[in-house]
Amino acid sequence: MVYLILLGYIGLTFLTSLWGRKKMDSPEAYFLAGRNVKTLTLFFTILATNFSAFYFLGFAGEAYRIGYAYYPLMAFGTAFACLSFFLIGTKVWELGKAKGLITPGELIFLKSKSRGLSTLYTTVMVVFTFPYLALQIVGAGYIVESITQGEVPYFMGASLLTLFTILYVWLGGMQSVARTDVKQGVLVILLMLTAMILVVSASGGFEVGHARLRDKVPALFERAGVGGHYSPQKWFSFFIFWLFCIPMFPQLFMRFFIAQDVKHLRQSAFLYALVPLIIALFPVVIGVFGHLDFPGLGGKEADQILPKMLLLHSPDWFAALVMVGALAAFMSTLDSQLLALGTMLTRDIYGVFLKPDLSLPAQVRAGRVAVVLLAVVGLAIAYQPFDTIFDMGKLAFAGLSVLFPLTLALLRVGPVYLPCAVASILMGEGLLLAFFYGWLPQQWLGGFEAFMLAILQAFLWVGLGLWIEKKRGKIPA
Amino acid sequence: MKAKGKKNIPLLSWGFVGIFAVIFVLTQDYLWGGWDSEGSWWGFPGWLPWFMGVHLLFLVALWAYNRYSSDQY
Repeated sequence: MVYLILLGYIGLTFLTSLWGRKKMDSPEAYFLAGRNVKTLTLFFTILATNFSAFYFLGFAGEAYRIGYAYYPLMAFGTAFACLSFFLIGTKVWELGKAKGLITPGELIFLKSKSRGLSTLYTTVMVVFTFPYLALQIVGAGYIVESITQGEVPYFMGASLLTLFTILYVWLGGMQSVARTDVKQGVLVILLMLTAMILVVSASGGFEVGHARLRDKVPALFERAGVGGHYSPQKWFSFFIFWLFCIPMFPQLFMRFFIAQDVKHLRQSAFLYALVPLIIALFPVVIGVFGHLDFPGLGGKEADQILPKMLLLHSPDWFAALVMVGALAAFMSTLDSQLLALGTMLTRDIYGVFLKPDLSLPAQVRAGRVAVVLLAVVGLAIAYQPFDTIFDMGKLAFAGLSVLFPLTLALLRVGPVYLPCAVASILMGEGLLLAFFYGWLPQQWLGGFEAFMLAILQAFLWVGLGLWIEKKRGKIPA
Repeated sequence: MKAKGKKNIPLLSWGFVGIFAVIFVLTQDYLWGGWDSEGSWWGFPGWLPWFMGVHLLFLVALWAYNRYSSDQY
């Protein structure tokens, strides 16, 4: 039954991705689905790209560890990030459409006229997205191994799913990615809702289950979380963080280009703010209720609370179906990352430094090759993932958020004095690495997260850079 | 190729900046005291509806801003 569900899902995804596929011989058609994506597809492709398998496993695992305090952080924090769709996204769309831009690097070059800065920007995006890309492959491998009970080994599962993802990205580009994202997004929401209902019903309903939980682990209901997890500094840091981080994911940044019209982008931004209010609750409830049946889990075991609860409270076929939903979430993030990074490497590196006279069809071919190469490197990392890869995934988010102040200033205010622009990025990434590797003491942060300091200093550099350009008469008073 | 639209979308007006900032402050509830974890509807913690309410308030403000910004086109 498990194999039937798995194969059925793969077959359905493949057919969906290729249904109605149009000939793609221009970079805009392949990389950006012809800039013709409307509200619902745009919303689901943003949602599916952003809610990776972390939504399935990570949310429930964190809720198990922290309690209900995790919910507002993820629900409101994610929703608040949609303001960046207005601040940055609408301007990206406008310039992209007017100037035929395809990558974030091209946009930065247009606004700064500096090839060095745009290359640095692209490099940071690629380097900091890569650990997260490799994590999708690692996660997919673990899930296939788990749902087939080891019959399909970890690396074989990771390889097969990566190959399958390459295939539909190769054939259909953004058009296929967006189409599969709609199906995967709907699947993810429905499965998680059903899973929550099954788990809560089996535990006697919300009131009975909560009463039992209050007796067993009352700290799950505390506002600061189990063990006072969220200090005010931490609470503030994580509430504001997603606003700076989410639009800087290259796979999301490029979604701003694909809207048919800015109206569709605005509407999808509203939906993006609405939906987490509801769907963030599903895995959090499952994670909290996990204490009733599996008390005392720690570390990585806590991240397995969702499959554990499903296997206990639902038929095997449904548990398998939910885990296929998690696979869908992995793949919808992986395909977008492969396409985004492939596009950036093709247009911003290969097409600029190695082959400036690349024809349009050749760009599409090069983009496809880049997707394969990226997937192969990701697979190589996944073969024997190094210990710190999960921590590096978190560092990647922070590394991308450092780009926000410069992006906002270039799009909305004006040119930034080049040395200040470069310093905002290099100093920010340097600070993150210094705190990550313990070269600087955590006490200096005063309880805040390191990314807050990195973002703050980036704003200061960018502010200084704007002031200098204003003094030089580059920005009208 | 020319972008569809009459003029550039303006930066958030100061009014909306203020509204969104106030809504953000409402999520920093430790500023005016703590919550107890007593149960509310269906046994969820009492502070949970507060955050859901703030989230709904944010949606209303966003809806208003969406209308405001669409008028700019």
